[in-house]
Amino acid sequence: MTLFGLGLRKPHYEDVLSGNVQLDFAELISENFMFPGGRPLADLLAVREKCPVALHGVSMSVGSVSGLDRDYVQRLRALVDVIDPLFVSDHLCWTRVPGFSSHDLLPLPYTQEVLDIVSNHVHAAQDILGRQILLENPSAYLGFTESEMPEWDFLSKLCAQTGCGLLLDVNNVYVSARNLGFDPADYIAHFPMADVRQIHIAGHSQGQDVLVDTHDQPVCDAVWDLFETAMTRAGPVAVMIERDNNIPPIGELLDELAMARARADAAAKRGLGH
Amino acid sequence: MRGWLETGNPDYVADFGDAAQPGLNVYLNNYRTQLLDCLDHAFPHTRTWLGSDRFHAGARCHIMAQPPVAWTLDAYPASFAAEVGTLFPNDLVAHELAELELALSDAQTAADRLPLSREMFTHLDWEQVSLTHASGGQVLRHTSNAAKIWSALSRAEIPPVPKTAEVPIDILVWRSDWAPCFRIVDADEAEIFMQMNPALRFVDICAQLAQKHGEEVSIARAGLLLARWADDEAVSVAAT
Repeated sequence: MTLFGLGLRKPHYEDVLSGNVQLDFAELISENFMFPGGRPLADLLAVREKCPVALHGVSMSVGSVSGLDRDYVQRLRALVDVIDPLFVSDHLCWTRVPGFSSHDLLPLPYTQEVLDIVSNHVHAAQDILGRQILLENPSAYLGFTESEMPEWDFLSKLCAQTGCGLLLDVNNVYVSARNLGFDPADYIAHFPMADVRQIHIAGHSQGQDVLVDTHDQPVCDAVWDLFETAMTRAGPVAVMIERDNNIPPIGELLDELAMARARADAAAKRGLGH
Repeated sequence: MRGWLETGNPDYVADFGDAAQPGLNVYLNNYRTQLLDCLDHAFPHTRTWLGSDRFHAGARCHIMAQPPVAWTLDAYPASFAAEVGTLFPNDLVAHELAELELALSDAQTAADRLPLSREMFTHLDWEQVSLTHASGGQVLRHTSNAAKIWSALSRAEIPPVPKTAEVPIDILVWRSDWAPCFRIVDADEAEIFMQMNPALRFVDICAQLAQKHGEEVSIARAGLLLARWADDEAVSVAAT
């Protein structure tokens, strides 16, 4: 069964809490709730009363050569224990070395050495959390000549080694493909869809010379087409619209969610789908 | 990559080649914009007071000098608040405005504590009870009228002229009903707040007050303070 939800941000809390909007699930940013107390956590618990919640993080930094921040993961575990989320996810990236935290999702070279580092960290994180995590393919603005394998192959091996799942961000595929010069359809054709549990759909902006994953625009036709293609190979997944900036009234996001349902149905009718 | 983000010096990323420059610029812009937005969000009235251009110039200096260290961006404003006095040495109140905004921000997500209420008064053994700050409670000691300036700015009113206080101004910050708040308190109340801990009974605090002001005055004063704290949700019971 495919679930359809939204990345839920503060301007839309009331729409969900009032019961006016029904979602299969809502995804919220883990770090926004990893506090000892206060309104954010109370809001999250209230949302959790209305629908299942997925926790999506940006600070696990599974690609850090300096090791996993166990304090961070233990704090995440405390939140997970309270929320019992549908999924816990983060990104295939690095954000931190000792004395420095970028708070941006920085790229990794896809080598065997990096795969071993990331695998160790995913193992450790899953041990602390006591559950599977999902990793998201990042938007890329540069590639590494040192890479020994394509991103989909890296992710496939990571899943095989650790038992983690994947969060496929279709917009990230499109942005990276445009920026790095590969065919997004080819990427989707090779992506290990059997490991995908969740799918993000989002918008982007045209930067000076590259596309930028801004999450501030409606989903474009090319990304919808890519999503439909991905859905022809998907199993049961949780699909959602992700909008973080220039946030419109919730009706516009629900219209995009209706489009996601229609595209998923179209993929199913193509006879190969979910 | 770290050196590039911290300094913008292209020597750090020369190995990527010229073709990678547009992508590197995106990472640099993301890094700096995120930190600037974080400081903007954390210090809205300090920014208004200084003016956006001055505030952003100071924030950019800080971002170049002190990268974030913690996994959470919410930890970054503290390092900026500590540097505002150095970044704006000729401004009498900016550093205390920033300190107040940081305390209010911290109170928003502090651990939840059940506040003392008037309904609880009759059920407590006042010979044994000790009090502690409510969620996010702390006392700031200011040397300027920054708190009055903050209040005026928060109401979009013309702020008073900045001036040095004749005596230090103590400000109690806490969270009530999810909202951070503060009020200026006198020296007695500030001292009591700073002393509060689970090992110190409220009657011991009253005894200290009595030594300063006499028993009759101190009993009346303690009663008024308790009522005010209960109405404000400013204290919690630490132990009974």
